[in-house]
Amino acid sequence: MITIVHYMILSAVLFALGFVGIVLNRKNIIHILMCVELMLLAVNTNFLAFAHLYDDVAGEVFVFFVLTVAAAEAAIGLAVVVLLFRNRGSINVDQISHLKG
Amino acid sequence: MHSAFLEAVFFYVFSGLTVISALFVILQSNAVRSVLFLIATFLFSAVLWMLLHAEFLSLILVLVYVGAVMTLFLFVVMMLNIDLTSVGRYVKKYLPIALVILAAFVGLLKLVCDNADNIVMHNASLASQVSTNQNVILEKDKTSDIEKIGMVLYTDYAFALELAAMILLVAMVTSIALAQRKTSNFKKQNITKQIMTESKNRVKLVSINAEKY
Repeated sequence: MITIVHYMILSAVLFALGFVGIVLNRKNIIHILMCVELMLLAVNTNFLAFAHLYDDVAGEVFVFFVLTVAAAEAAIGLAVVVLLFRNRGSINVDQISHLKG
Repeated sequence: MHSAFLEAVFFYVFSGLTVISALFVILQSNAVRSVLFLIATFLFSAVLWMLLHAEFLSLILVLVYVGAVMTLFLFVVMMLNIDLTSVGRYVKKYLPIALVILAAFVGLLKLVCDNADNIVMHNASLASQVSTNQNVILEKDKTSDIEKIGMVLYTDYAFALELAAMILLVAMVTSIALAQRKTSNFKKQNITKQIMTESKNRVKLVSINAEKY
């Protein structure tokens, strides 16, 4: 029998993997964006599991809005990355310190 | 009994595949392979969302995320053409921090799972009490997932829906404005110049002597 705890463990593992990915691949902005997407997926899975448990549609509507905002975030983030690459020639996170005086 | 067994099989297979492909997302040094493994993660999660009776959102995940957002990621990765050679160094350098974070998450998970059983059982029994009270209504209420979402999305969450539409519009305008390449030789209107112009800039009155006969 699959309970809510199974889904909670799964989403916690996914969230931890996304977090560890941000820590490990801190060189490349695209990797960081992908790890953020992974963490959002974990959160959405948690929302859906609880929506299923309580038979409440509010959780599913919230996941809908999270997906909307995540799509907008990905689009703007990738546009910024393209602009950064065009102007600087690299998207290395360590080298983005031009605002430092 | 049979369907519960089938559900367990589906859950374990697809959650294992999800975790393995998520692991490959963070371990791959090649960005294109990383994006492809992220697509695989989304597809396997879509199956898990199906198991949670969220059919609409599961299909939205496949259509919008795999179809649009991940394609965008793939295009950007291919467009930028980055070489990633020295990720291994970073893995060694930050592995202790990552292990500490993992240990913290595992501890949190243990804390949650120890307390989860009684909390969840308590709430589930409350929910089942409610559902037995409204048993007649619930039996008739066998609407589909998309119908349930649609019923509340345009009524209770109408303001949030308009806000989300606004966010998407702003995102579209922003990304076009950021990524548009400015070329020097394309013609456009200068609105300020057009409005601030005066009649003497456009019409020049000259006096010409009339011819005499």
